[in-house]
Amino acid sequence: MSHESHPAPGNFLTKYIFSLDHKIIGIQFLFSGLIFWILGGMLALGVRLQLGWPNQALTELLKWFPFLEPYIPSNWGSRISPEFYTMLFTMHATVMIFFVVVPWLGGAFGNYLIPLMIGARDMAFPKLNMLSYWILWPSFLFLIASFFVDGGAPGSGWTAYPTLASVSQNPEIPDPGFDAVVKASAPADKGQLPAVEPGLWEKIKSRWNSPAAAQSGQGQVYWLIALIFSGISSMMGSINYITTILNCRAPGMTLLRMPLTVWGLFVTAILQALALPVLTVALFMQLLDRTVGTVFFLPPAGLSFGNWHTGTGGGQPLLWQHLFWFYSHPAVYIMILPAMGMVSDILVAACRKPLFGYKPMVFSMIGIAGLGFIVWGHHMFQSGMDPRLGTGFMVATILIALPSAVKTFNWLATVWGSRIHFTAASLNALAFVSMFIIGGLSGIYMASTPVDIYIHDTYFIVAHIHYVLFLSSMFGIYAGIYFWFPKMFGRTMNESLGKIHFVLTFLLANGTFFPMHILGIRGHPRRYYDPSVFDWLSPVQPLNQFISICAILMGLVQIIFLLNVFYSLFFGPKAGRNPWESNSLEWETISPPPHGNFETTPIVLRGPYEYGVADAPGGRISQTGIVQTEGLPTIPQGSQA
Amino acid sequence: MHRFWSLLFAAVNLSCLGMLVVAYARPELGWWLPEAASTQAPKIDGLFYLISVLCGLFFVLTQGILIVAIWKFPSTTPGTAKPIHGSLGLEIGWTLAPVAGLLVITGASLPVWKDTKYQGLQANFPIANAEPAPAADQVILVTARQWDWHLRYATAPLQAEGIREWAEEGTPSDLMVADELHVWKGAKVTLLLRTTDVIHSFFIPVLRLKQDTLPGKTIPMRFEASVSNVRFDPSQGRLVSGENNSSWEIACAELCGGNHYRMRGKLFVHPDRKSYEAWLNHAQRQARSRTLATSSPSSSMQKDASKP
Repeated sequence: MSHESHPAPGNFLTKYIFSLDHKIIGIQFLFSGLIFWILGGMLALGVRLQLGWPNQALTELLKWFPFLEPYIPSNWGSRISPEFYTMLFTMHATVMIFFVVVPWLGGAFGNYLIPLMIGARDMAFPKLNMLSYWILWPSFLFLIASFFVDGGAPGSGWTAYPTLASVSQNPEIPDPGFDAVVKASAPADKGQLPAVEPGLWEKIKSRWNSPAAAQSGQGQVYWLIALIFSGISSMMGSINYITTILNCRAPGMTLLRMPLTVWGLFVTAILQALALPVLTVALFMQLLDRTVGTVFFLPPAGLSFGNWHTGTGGGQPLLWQHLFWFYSHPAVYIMILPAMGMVSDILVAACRKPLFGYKPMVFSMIGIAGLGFIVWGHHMFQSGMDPRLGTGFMVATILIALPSAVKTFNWLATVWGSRIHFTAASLNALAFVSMFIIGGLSGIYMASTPVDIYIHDTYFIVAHIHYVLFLSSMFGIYAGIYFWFPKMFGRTMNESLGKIHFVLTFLLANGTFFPMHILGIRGHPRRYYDPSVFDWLSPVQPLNQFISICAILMGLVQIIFLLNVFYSLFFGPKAGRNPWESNSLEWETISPPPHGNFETTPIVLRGPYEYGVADAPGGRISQTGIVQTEGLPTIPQGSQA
Repeated sequence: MHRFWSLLFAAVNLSCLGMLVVAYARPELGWWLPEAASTQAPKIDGLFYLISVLCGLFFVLTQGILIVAIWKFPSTTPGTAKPIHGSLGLEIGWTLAPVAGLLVITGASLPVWKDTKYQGLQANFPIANAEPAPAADQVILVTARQWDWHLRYATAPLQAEGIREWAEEGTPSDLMVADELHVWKGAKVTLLLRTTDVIHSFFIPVLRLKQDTLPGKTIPMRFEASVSNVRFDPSQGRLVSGENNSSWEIACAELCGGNHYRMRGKLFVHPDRKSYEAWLNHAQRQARSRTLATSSPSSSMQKDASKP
């Protein structure tokens, strides 16, 4: 067994920095994610600042943050420029998806919880595990560096569709058609924007080496490299998780005795291992297009940007969308399945009642993952692919609502008739269930292809993705942090601060994201710098302002969470082995667990959800518990897989 | 305290639902679907309402159960919970019930999708059983570029099989207009969508019409307007308001660079072919008297049309 191969670390460097211990690596992922979470939040607030007050000069902000001057230039009246705006939402999405939610769920919780919950001493491949964290650092560096290269970070959206993202031009070739194009499309009859000063455009143009997307010159190349590294990291992690779960379970821990958290992470790891190679290939193809001049995504006749012509191609821009969404749709499940598992376990521990329908829960996860591979085309209904393909993708997409509904009903049946303890963790988990319903239902609108014609690429989809990724996944992550913090650091978080943070975030997140459905129903396209250019969108400007106010307040409320984390880390009350009186294996060992996790290898006798057992002490039997009680069904001894 | 949590969940969910109800019930706020001005639009809106009703039922049922459970079952409830691990009957029940709803949605969606996007597949996807291109009253080539729409109107009738060639070659009598789409009520319009540079998306909210333009491809899009908003008055030589005094806009719905938000066009639906042709003749005369490269032939009319 591999975990015998590394001894307990001796010094600080091997214990906390280049650690082979899955628990330290998990915590490294947790804190790296926290830094990017703050960055991603700031970028989102920049987006909301612009949309709430589109023509507001930001002179006060400039006094506080003078380094923003190149992006909020004085000849734009100290406003956010449209190019800077495209960068804000591009990098917000990139950071939150690839550097926050994926590393937190897969990296932090996956690393920390899998060996502990299955009774292993460590991961199957501890060195690969360490590498999976440290290979993220080139990724971090390239991502951060992209903000500082000529032209800044990319502005072609996190989806990086060619040819906007992939065409680059020799910067020495002038682009004489450009000024004419800008003036021709200026909204002259609105008169709200200052006249474009030629000096500014010269300045901006000199920073570009791409005529297609603002700020997508070098920044786009750095972005591609950053994502390739982060993909390799996830790939290493997923191989390790699959191997660990299949080979390193404690005696008696059959697959169908694993807690749902482990199931969620297991299914996610399989999804990642199968889907990530496709994204990596696509990223390499775009990188080659941009750097050595291949034409994977350039159509045969080439393209004209003003008076500049790219030369002939031979590729197909739509190919990127297929490859990209073949990964990025499963990625949506990669970012929700672990949270579903965690929320199930947290709910059960808080409700003191067995999980309702363990097997249907496991099978619906597998169902979501399986169907997840054949629904990527629903991002492309209006892309120009054969509409008959759209029909097939619609049917598959509507089918995927089914396992999601089954999960929802099982959560409700778990809560019904239980004895709920309201903690910061369980409240966030309950909110996950409630908000996942909204996020799931709004998805059905997009699945119906004719309705999607209208709401595709509007704020309706922005609302949907945030109900799934913020109000569901992120609330699952909050719940997970409150719940497993005592195990990770041996101290519990402050419950009162946790509840205040929960109430405010719950209210403000709904205030931020629910009105976006209404913007979408009105037809408000996403990624618009200033919707007031359009007459038909002017009635929703008050809603945009309301959303921005809620978003900014919600950003401030997160300070409570950060304070709680860092205060509790050092001053929180000491936690025992099992503060929540939970059944799964990680609570059997001391908090925080020692190197090697368990004093003696646990022997697993039953599933993790034996609650409500009237005769047992505490009304529960842990997974290793031997309790002689009358009337308790005898659980057959499982064999080690 | 548990009642507070139950009420919090109830308040949040009711506010969300309430916001939708207010937006629907008070159209004067301008927070709901814009006018429906094509033959497809009411069908798409109908589907939207059908899904809303089914999702609304599911929403009320599931959130209701959750809110009541939080109210009824706090940890202070006497006794321990019953150790129920599941129920096959319930699982089958709540698997089949959503299946029924989802089948209804799928069944209702398929014909609308087919109507909207399947016509004329043969031209674009040469597969044996594809349907042939239907006859069109109007053929317009829309070329998107950073950051405006260029429209080329066919002024002479076109045969269905001649459309491809016309799109490539054009004819000298074609009319070029920037950012303005003129059609007449009831005309079967075929748009051919192209782009010279990046992906754009031609979005007309009132027609519930959206189609990406794809570099290297010509994508057909068909529609029929059902309400008119302008009329051409030959005596004044300008557009005046029609049966519906609305200004209808065209937008870009796919990120295409910094000025993505500025790709604003206008839709003019004439009441009949006569009014459209009067405008067309007028615009052609104007175009002949100017240099195409430096001016948009109808920019003066755009200002006139905005007057009531």
